[in-house]
Amino acid sequence: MDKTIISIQNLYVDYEKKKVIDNLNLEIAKGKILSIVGPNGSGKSTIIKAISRTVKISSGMICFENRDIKKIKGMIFAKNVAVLSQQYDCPKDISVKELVSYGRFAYSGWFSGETKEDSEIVNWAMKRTSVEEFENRKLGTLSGGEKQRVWIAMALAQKPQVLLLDEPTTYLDLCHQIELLELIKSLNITDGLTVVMVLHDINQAIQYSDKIVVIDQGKVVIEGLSENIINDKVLKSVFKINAAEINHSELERAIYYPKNVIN
Amino acid sequence: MNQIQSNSYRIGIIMIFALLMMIGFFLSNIYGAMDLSISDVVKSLINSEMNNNRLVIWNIRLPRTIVAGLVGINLALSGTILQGVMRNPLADPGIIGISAGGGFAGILVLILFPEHQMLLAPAAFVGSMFAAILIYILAWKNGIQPTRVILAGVAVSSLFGAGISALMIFNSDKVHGALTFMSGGLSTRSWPQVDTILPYTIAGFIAVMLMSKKLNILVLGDDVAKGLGMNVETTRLKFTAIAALLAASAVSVVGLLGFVGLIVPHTARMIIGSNHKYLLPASAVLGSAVVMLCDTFARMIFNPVEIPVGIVMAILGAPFFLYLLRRA
Repeated sequence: MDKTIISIQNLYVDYEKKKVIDNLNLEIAKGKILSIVGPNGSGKSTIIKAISRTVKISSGMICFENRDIKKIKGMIFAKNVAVLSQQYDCPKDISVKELVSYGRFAYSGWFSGETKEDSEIVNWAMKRTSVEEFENRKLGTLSGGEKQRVWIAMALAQKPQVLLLDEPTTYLDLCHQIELLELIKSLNITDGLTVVMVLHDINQAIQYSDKIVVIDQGKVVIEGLSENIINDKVLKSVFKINAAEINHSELERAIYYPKNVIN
Repeated sequence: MNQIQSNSYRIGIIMIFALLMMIGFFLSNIYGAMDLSISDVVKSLINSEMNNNRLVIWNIRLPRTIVAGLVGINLALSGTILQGVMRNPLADPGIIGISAGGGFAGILVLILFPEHQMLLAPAAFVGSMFAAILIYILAWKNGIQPTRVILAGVAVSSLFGAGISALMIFNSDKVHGALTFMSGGLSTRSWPQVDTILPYTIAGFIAVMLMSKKLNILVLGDDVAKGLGMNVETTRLKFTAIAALLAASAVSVVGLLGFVGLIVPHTARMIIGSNHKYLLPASAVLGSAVVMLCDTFARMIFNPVEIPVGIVMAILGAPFFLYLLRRA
């Protein structure tokens, strides 16, 4: 039995009187990768935002290591849970290294400058995400894939136990998508990071995560191990597509090729 | 330029701005109704020998120059902070009505309690802070949106502008003090104004330098700042209060002096980058240089008649504003 690190109990979230999350229960296992999939507007991103405390919960509770996250101080929470949102609008003229070092904010005191530990962790985070060779470049000059790795480096500098990612591969080309997913996988395996990510691509979710939860209309439709949770029935009922299951000897897990839309 | 500037480069830039500030300081002391030489100025500043030069320097030019420098520091810092917390490059205490709020409260004091001049600064602060909060309330909708801030600011600014006009029309007999207050001028400013503004400059500068790291985090956006562990609302309120205090203290000694908080932070940011650890001191030093130089220019151009420095700033500021619009 996996140890639960985050548990969501009877969660409701409303956005401008519209029910976005409707009595959702979810246990997130420590040290695993969980992918959240579902159609647009199903509430996937809202789950990430609720865990990272950027949307208001209408009712229910989210616990981190059995403690209500509402009662955890911002600084303490940031040392345990890091989040990467969908899009950023930030200054273009700060350097990669400067941004990554902001990840140490929760560890800084009022008057103390950067400690030796801070700079070691910042260097480690940049090396881990292979951004250290351009650490002095300005953010505005980076490509989408490079930028995404820099944001992950900043999240790593928080030294969290859990990394939340909201559609991390959006706007990236195929090569950079795979590069990023490989990085996430390796952070999970070698550094023991718990990962919760929202993905659009079902096949990527199947290949790169331990568990998948399918969300529709703010509810959990089905959840389970990624090798056997997705089938053409789920794709039909939730995503409204007819898909062909393809098993290939070079692939560990089956993939699904969408054939057409169900009218 | 793909690479970020090195720290020694950034410190070098601050040094160059400081040199500019020194040049502004001396020019402001040299030129006036009676031009002095630089050696006259230096002699008057360090010797205690009493003569005409020394009287002119110590009673008129030196305090006026110091007021100009301090006003420049306060407005530039205020603009830098507001651009950061409101996440809008056009945020400037003048444009978004924070100065107008302070000005309205200031004129109210000048008209109602003309004998209580020392109420000017605190009243201006209350007015500025009120304007800032009003802008937030008007612009707030699931977070701060840069465009809404400017629209709300323009509305607040014209509201207070109308208030100021109304006060002046209904009190035309007591309006003289208020009129000089409106145009943003430095003539006749002397040691009492230095005393008024200096504590705010010192306290404000120390506070923002201690908090510069937080401003760096805040400009990443609310969600990111929250994710990094910051209490976003409280921090933003603290910065807004400091910005309002800085702007209000400047307003209470020179009146409505616009564009400093817009031009200076932008110029500094273009040269030095967005890291507030360097940007804040660079803006402060450059701000004092700009106001001292502009005030010298304002005295010189139609000598012996002098024009308010606010007019010079506006002549410089308007095209700069348009340049920013084209660039955005």
